[in-house]
Amino acid sequence: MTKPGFLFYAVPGQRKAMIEAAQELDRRGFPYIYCNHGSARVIQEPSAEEKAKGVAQTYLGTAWTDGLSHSLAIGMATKQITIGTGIEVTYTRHPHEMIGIGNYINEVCDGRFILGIGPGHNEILRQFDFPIEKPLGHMRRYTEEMRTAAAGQPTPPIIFSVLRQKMVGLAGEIADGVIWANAVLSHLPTSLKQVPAEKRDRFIVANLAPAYVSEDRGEALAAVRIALTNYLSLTNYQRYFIEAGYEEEVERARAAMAADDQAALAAAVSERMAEDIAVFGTPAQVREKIEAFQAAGVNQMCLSTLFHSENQAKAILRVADAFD
Amino acid sequence: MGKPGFILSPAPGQRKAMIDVAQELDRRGFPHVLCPHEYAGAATAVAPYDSLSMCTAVIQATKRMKVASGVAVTYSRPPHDMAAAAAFNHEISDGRFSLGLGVGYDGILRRFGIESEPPLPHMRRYVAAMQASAPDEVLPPVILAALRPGMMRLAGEIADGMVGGCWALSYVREALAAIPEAKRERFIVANIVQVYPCEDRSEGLAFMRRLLGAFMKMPSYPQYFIAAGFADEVERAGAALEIDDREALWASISDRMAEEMGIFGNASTMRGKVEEWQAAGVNWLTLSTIFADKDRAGTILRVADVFD
Repeated sequence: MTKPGFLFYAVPGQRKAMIEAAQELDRRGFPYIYCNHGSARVIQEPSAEEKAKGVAQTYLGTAWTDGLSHSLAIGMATKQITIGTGIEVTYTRHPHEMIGIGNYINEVCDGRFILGIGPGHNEILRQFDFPIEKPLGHMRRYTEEMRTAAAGQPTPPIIFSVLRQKMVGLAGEIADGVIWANAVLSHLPTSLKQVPAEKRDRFIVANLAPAYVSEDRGEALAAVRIALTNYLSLTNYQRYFIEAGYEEEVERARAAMAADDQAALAAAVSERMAEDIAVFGTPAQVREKIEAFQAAGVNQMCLSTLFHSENQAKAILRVADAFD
Repeated sequence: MGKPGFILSPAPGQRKAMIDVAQELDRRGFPHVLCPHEYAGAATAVAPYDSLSMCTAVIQATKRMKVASGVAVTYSRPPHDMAAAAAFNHEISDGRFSLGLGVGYDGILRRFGIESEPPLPHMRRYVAAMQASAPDEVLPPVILAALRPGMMRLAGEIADGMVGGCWALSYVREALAAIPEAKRERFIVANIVQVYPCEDRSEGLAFMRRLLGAFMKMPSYPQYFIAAGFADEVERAGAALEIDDREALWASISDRMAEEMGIFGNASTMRGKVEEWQAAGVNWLTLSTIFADKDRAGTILRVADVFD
């Protein structure tokens, strides 16, 4: 089994500790770190009308930082590890600036950078008055503008955040890879059929999976259910999970949100669904699940520990211990 | 004489070399560097870097020196995103970072489909939105790019410092007058001065004439030049621009204007001029070596040698 990478968040007060954790992962031979665009915190509840449409929360507040800054700081502090944005939201930057910064990071980090971009979540974007376009058309236009502007310059690989098949297909056409957050293992073969055969050898297929290592399966399952609940509240994830065969779970989640029943929302995540998306259990079970994702075509498997209650840097290093 | 700081502005292919320069300046005790916002646009289709990103890289590579964006353009990011990146730099630098903010230039912003707002209300709203979006964060000092008295007064009111791009030496008093008494001790007064080392004064004058001639074409600068006492020069430059006469444009820049806005000459003259700026109240004097088209990193270090 190839060691997994990790998803990093620049949590306020822990930012230097996260960079030190990255240095340790680098020394221990872990291959990837993807840095999230820390969008915002939940501080407002939705209206009844929004809830009925499946919107669970309204986002507003401090972003933790952009994935580009965090990637750069980690890249400057490490020597071998590949770093990427997982992902940077396109709407926050003009495409010429996005690719310029991507090129900057790639150059100062000796080509270790991957530019992961995505259109973000409507629920969040609406709070910041971004003029939202349809995702497929937006990503095509945005990427073409980046590529045209940077023609002839050394540019990092560009990968798209994806969920459903159409975006995978678009990435297969115009990008260098894809990155899921919470890919459904059983659905990966269907999704990856969208990537042209001639590209598959060099195509980056990254996945950020919630990970929880514990000898107590009940504890681990409860933890990953909470992690997945957050995604079930987002409409683009609801559509993806339906595409992947989890319509019942989505329906239960929508009903729970309409009734404002948090316990029912967590219970909406079936054990089968948790098993199909998250990486949890004993170290041996965790390693086995990672192998399953890798066998299904994920060549940059990364683990997320954001939902852990402990300090992020400690949580990451504790999970990393399962792979030494 | 305190050592001056420098503007760092790498071209693609020189990005690592510029970080090495920052490390050397840090080792040699230079107090600060400013990282400007380089525009993507017609001349450079891709922005070669972003102000805050370059600050992140320099912070990671240095230990003591202060690092500031000089300046980040507000229109390049939503305020909450700017606040987050600034808080990130502040935290990882142990407080060595300051956030320089400016409203940019209309002509360039329009290229990107951005219709700018009137500068003063825009900056007031932007800073307030930034602060409101980060209630639990420790934000770094905020420095506003200021040319004219209105923005200087706003900086005095809502910010922790101001930075001029090409202030005249005699104009520093306008900046100082805008700082409230209660803020004076800790207020950052930065100015970016073009520097041109040369033994022949006329060579330095010619450089400044070309440079300030280019500034005459930028929308916000002629008004500032008038406010700074150079109305005759602006009038002559305007006439030269109307007939597209480059030689006349350069000739419109008086010796007095060049002397007041640039630092040029031999090492001793340059040190003397730096002292003058500091005595006038500029506590973050920042030298720009914009004239170095090719070896930007080497040029900064050659200028730095003058101040060791």
